Amino acid sequence: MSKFTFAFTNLIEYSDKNDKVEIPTNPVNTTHVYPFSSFLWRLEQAPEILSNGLTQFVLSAYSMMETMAPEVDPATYSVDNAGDEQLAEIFKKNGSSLKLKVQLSPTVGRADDLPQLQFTSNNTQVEFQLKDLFSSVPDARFGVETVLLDGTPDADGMQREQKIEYVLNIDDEFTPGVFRMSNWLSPDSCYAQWKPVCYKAEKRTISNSTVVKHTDLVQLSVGLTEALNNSFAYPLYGGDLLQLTGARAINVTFGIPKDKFYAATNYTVWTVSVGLGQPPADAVSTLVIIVILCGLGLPFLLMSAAVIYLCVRRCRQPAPDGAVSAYQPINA
Amino acid sequence: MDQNVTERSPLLQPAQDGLSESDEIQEYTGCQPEACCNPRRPLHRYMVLAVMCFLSFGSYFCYDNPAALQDIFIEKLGLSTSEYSALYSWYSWPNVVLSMIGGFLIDRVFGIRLGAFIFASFCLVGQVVFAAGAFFNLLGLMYFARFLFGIGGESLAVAQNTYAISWFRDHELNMVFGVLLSMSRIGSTVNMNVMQPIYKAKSLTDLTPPKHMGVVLLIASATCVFSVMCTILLAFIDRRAKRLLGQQAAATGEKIELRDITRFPLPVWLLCIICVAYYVSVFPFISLGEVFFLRRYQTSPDAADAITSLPYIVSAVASPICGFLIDRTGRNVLWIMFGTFLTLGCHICLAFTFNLNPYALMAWFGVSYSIVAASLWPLVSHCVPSRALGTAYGIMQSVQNLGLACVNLATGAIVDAKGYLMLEVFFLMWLCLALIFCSLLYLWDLKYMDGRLNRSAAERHRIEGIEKAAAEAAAARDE
Repeated sequence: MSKFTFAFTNLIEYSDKNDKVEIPTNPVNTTHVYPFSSFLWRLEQAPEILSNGLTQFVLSAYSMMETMAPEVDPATYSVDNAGDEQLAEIFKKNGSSLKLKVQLSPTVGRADDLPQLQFTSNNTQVEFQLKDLFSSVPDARFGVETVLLDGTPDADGMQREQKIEYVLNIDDEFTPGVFRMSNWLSPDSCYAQWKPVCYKAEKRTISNSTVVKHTDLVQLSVGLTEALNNSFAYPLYGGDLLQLTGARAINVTFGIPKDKFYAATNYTVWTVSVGLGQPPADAVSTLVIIVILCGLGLPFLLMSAAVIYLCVRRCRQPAPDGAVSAYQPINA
Repeated sequence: MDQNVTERSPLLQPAQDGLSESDEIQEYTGCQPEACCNPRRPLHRYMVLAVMCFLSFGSYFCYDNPAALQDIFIEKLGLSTSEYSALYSWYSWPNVVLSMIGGFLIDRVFGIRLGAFIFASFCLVGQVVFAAGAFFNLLGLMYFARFLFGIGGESLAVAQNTYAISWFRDHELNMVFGVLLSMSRIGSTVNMNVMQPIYKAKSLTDLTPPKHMGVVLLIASATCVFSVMCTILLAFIDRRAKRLLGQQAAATGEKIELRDITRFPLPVWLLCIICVAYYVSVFPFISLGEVFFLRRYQTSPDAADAITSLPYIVSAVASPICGFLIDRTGRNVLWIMFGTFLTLGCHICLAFTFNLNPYALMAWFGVSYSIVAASLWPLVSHCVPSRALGTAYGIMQSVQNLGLACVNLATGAIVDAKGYLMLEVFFLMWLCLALIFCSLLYLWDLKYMDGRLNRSAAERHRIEGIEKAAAEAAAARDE
């Protein structure tokens, strides 16, 4: 039986002093890491089947502080809960949220919303949304750490070597402005697929889109393994995760330099599709092919017909009409 | 009778360098014999060309002031993006109609000299009112000012084209149009590079943003003053030249009537369609191109900016050179087809490949645009009589503005809905349409105009020389 896990492990808030959209590698006191395991989750929208056949549910994160009665003084809390205070900070604003919208489809098709990734019957799409999160510095950005664990060793019982590959496509019909697909693969086993684009506003258009970058694949750290052991991954895989799975992690960042940071719109949404088997590939759509054939083929046919007509006419009349013959003097 | 004429010598002598007996200047006074003051000599013409270039400089410079100061308009003066874009819409949409009216007014009412002065003054007044609108932070006044500026700007371009033909019809017309095209790009580029430093000048930083902007725009209006002075200078030179050569401004005394427009030959309308079909695949692409290059070629934002401005920079250099080439070879219609093919190839590469260098592609784009622009506009002078030139150019500008305004709306919608590949296919379809109409023009020209539009340069000089000599002989006979 095949099994794999795609996990959001840490939410990273960092201060982008150099405006390069890179998470600082050295520990800095302006970098805060919020483990997803310290969030509490409520089911904002119960699983329901939409009119287009998709099954969808929405999880929303909140911090434990929210559940506390307002009159309790956070300062009286013990040290263990100090992280919760920090976590509660990011949800300070009214209407702030961190949501995961999960969609599955029983059939092959496409999502309705940009980036309109493909559904197979073996994948799930997760929309990761950050809305109105608070941060104390004006140049803050958010990133997320994700992990792909492959629980199915290959035919020889070995761990598969994960890789990220980029597929180019001339057709950006389904995701305007995006010409490549990022595929994070555990070859022939499972994948996480996304278009390297995220949207800065609820209305998803090209002008609201921005770039998604990620770091290279790294092996899991001890802390991460610990965190995963405390999660749903443990009952799935049991024992030592590192032994059984060729697990890898990447940090995903959102935005480009000079875009005025997360605070410009206080909104980020990114969609990733995870599934078993081979990731679906985008081909040039039929509509585009028809338009190209009609829109360009017909004029070229017309032009060729005109050129042939001209040549035939030229060949039939060797001398142009009204050619002036050489002047012959009357009296030689 | 001249003793050199025998039975065998042709009755009509072909003109040499446009000079013939009856064309001698009536009397030499002052510096007239000198090359620089003799309207017949190339040096004088090139000096006039220099003045002609700066006729529209003010309008091209001030047209793009909002773009150069965009972040200040949006952040300091608090305009939304659509309010900022409206600064341009108030210029372009009225010009769908005004260019035509302006051209007609030049032909019928004002004449070229007064017309150029009036429209340059409109530019100046528009820019000053724009500065005032910014100074007092009145958005409505700014819109009205851009409208006034638009009345002047486009019609001034029509006047400039008419002047160019009037002085260079028999000479380096294509190169002159190339030079004028260059100047428009140079004006815009100078604006982009100069306005931000002016804004940041130390002596102004104490002012509040609206007042600051008002003063900066007023400084920019100095270029419009310069343009107005150029129109006055050019009016004097033109009047002097016409007086010395014994010509009148409205040469035959006939004036254009409105119904003459319906009698324009078909090639004029074909040229309008070719103009629109070609330009809508150039300008909207450049304005939407930044995201395209950012995403598809993975460039940095600064590189994407540089790539999208490359066609303008290349055409500033290439237009005069291409114009010169086209002057030497003639065959304008074939050059238009060639340039359109090149642009077609460029769009095909942009749409269907990833590996080619975007800088090279955009430079190629700029060269092909120069070829088409330098060969297309002068053709109008071969289709309509001189008294209707302003009107014809006004109509072409109007149709071009209408096409661009509509297609700009459409391209935004296409990209948002269906992506850039569809947009490229859309542009390719327009280019194919341009090619089809170009072939129609070629065939029509062959059949009904004796190939007049597509003559080679040598043939054109020869035939025009004969025609001119015939006209002079007829005039001499009439006296």
